[in-house]
Amino acid sequence: MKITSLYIKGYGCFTDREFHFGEGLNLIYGPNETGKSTLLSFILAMLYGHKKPGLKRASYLEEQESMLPWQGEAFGGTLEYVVRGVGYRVQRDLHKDRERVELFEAVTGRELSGDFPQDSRRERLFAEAHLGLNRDLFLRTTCVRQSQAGVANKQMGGAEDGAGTSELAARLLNLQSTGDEEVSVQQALNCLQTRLEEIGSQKAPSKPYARTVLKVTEFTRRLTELKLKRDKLLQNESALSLTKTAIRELDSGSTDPLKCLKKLGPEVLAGQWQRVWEFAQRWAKISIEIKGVQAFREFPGEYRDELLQLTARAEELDNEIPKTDEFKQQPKANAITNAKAKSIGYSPILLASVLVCCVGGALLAILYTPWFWIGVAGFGVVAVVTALWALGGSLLQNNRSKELDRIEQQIRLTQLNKRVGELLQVAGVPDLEAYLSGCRKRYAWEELNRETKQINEYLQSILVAVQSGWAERVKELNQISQELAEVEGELDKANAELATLSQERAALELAAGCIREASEEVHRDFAPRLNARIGRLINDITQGRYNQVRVDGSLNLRVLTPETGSLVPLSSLSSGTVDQFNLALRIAVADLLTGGQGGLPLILDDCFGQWDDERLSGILAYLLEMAQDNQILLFSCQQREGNILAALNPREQGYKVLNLGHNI
Amino acid sequence: MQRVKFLHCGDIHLDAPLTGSGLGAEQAALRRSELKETLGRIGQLAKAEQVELLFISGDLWEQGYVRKQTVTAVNELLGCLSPVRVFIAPGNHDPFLQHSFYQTTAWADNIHIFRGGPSAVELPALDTVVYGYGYENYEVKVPVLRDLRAANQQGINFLVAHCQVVSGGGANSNYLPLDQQTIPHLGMDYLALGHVHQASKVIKSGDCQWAYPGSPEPLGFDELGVHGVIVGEITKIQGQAQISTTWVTLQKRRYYDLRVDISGAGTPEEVVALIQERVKETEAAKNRAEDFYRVTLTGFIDPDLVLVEQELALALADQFFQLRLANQSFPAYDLERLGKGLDLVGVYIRKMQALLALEVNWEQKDLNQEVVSKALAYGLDALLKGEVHRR
Repeated sequence: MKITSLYIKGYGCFTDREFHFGEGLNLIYGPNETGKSTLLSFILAMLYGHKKPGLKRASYLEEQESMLPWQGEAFGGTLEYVVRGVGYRVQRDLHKDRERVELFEAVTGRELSGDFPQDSRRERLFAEAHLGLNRDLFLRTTCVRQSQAGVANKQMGGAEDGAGTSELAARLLNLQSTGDEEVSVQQALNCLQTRLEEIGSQKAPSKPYARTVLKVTEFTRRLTELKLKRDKLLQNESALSLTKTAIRELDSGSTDPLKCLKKLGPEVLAGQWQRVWEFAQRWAKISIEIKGVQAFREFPGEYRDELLQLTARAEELDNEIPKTDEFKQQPKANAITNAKAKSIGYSPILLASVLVCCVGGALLAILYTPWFWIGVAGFGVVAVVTALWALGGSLLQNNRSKELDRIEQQIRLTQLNKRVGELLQVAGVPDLEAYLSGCRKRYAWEELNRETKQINEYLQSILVAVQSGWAERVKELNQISQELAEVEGELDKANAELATLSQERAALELAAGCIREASEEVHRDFAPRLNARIGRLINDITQGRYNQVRVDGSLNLRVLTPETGSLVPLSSLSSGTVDQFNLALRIAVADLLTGGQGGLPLILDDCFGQWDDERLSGILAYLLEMAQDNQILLFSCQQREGNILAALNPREQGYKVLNLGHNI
Repeated sequence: MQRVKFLHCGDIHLDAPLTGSGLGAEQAALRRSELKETLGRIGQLAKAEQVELLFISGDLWEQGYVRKQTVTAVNELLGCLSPVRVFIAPGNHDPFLQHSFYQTTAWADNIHIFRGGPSAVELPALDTVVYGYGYENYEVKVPVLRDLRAANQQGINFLVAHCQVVSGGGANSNYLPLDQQTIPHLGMDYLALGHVHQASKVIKSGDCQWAYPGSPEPLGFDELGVHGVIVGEITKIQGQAQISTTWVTLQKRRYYDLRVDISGAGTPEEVVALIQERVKETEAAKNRAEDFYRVTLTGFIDPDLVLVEQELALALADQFFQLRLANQSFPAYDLERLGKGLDLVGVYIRKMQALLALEVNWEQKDLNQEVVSKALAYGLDALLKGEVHRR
């Protein structure tokens, strides 16, 4: 491709300017601020427009604003170029609101715009079709700026040893692995890795990924804990719903508290469980014992005292009544004893007589002293007579009353025994011992029954207390339920966050993996061709001394000596040779990327300012040689290049000088 | 002639944790209280419409989260509706478990809760039988309703159940499958069904009509549109039923799912403006401060535009009850053109596109299309821009 001419209607500092280029080396001279960069920008604008390349939607480059014409309304112009022997003219209006681009065949004037449909940015891609490169690639491969031109310059300028060749090596590596010297696999992988590290992994506790995993773990743990707690409370709640029935049943004594309490469980009864359980066990024991005495619960125990008295009396009587033999053997003794007892016990007349006499005597003694002794004697006689009379009567009756008494006692004993028998019959027992046993069982039943009631009352009071105390637990149940929902929400969010981070990680890892694979593929397909081309280049430049360039992992560039097979650092070659190599490489890469269509121009933008004359002379000689095949646009703000070129080629053959002049 | 008026609702999901909505704790709590209010509005409607029967076809609450105070409130609220007879058929989210509140609550006399079954409750005064089935577990795989038959064809027969109507004999479901073909043979006049949150039409299968009223208050972004309950009336004359139904909306908030093409936006502010513009175009705009919005950003954006979803959401937060943003926009790399290149970028794009086009078992590969699409963008960012930000 060769640019033949351009007409700038209005672009930056240029208005209505026309330039014609030679097919070979074009030295475009102009001091600073004379529009060299503007000219380069205009060429790119004519070919590619002002829209960012590689995007689906129209997005404008900064040139759309920075290159607005200083004078006049027109913003655009015309550029003519030749590709594979065909001349084209492109006309472009760059105003956003009336944007327009037209392509014509230069010779016939036939419009070709329709051959290149607009893309999604409303841009016609004729330049890409003609050159095989988009704007970015065109700029990168064909345009060399000052910082990129002098590989050897960096070495010679006292920079870190090997820094220049390292950069060249890096570019070569990029080319070999990406096909684009500006695109670095390593850089791409590094920034993916950086983002991965920002997200972090489980091993990096301070990074978002590990923190989110921790959050998920913590919320899950809390959730499990709350669920267990809630389930427990629900079970207790369920058990508690039985307490009302339990209280009623306990009240009627129709339920076994053990069964009831087992349903409630220690959770519900909390601190009282042990005591309650002991009572319930006692209840269970009683319930067995009570069965043993259940039959005696209506046993007539009310006769117990009477029966005991009766039997005691009967025994007493039985003891008092002389037995038949005993009575016969000892009648006298008994009679005397009985008589004495009778006489003492049953002689009131005698006692009354003595008493009357004594009192009478005493009164007489006090009232009538002369009559005292007469009275005493009288009353004494009366008393003695009376006493003797009484004693005599009693002795007469003694024997007869003893017999009567015995009979009487016998009768009473019989009556007592009869009553005892009646009572025992009512009680349904054969004898007193059985009755007393029955009484004991009845009392035991009463005792057990009383205890059962006490236990029931106690348990009821506990249950009532538990029921009223359960309100607190219900509050807890409500709180837990609410917290559970909240934690579930938090967990859900944490899980979503984790899913996003995991997705990010997966995407970044996939991208890195795919870049590696693609790089290997490019390296496999592109690198051999590139290396072969580089080999030819270095062979040509060094006139056969070296024919291969190799880049090692540490970005060291080495050239291979064919004869010895030894590897020599590229930096050991002369600086001029390395510069030649660098520039030649660009053309070679451009050719490779355009599928060998070749002929791309080389644009050198003021890039030899720091070079000494000798070195500049060397590279210009090489450029003159290159210009036989490729158009070269060499922009410079110094006259040095012109002078050297003139010295190298006094007849100005093979190059053309365009002077931009001052104050354009 | 018999005539019965009923209200049919279900899937209220009281005390649900509302996961998946991305709500904050306060908003979720508010929303839970609103679910309870919805039940209140159902009660008011039942009274206003003077229905005789209220059917709650399952998932009244969420067993795992329901609070006792909620159950107490439900009991009081429904109890107050007496003489309206309330029939609850527990579902997979509120099964009648041993320790569930269905079991432990002393329910008001006018409330009947179906447990297992199917069982029937006869209402002689209305010449009506209400059949029902109540889950006793979280799943019911056996099609137990298949063999149910209404005994009295002269009276009115209802079936209340939380079930999934399936098509074809071989269709399975873990939620009480009911083959649609068997519905006409059940001998029912109306099936008050629950489980499906999006309301169905009232469908006629033979002489029987059935419907899912859906959730009266939507619970997530998968429940868009209008939600409510069904009020109906059955008149049966000589064994022939005539059913009229009305669908009544009770919901407080709606869920909206919008896609906003942000192509051309150069700054986050422009993206915010585009979202606002898009929302205004929709019916949603009227009540956006009350409603839930999920906005998915689509289109092709400048690769240099870094969008932080949280920042965008923050800028819009006060205009919506809830706004969830998902960024599915793609950096506007010209894949078609770049993908033709022989360089790494070209090869990379072709590889990724092949991966996207491939019918891959994504689950097995632990990837999905979204991941691959993101990976494509990240790779291009890394290769062409030399920097990677979250997309």
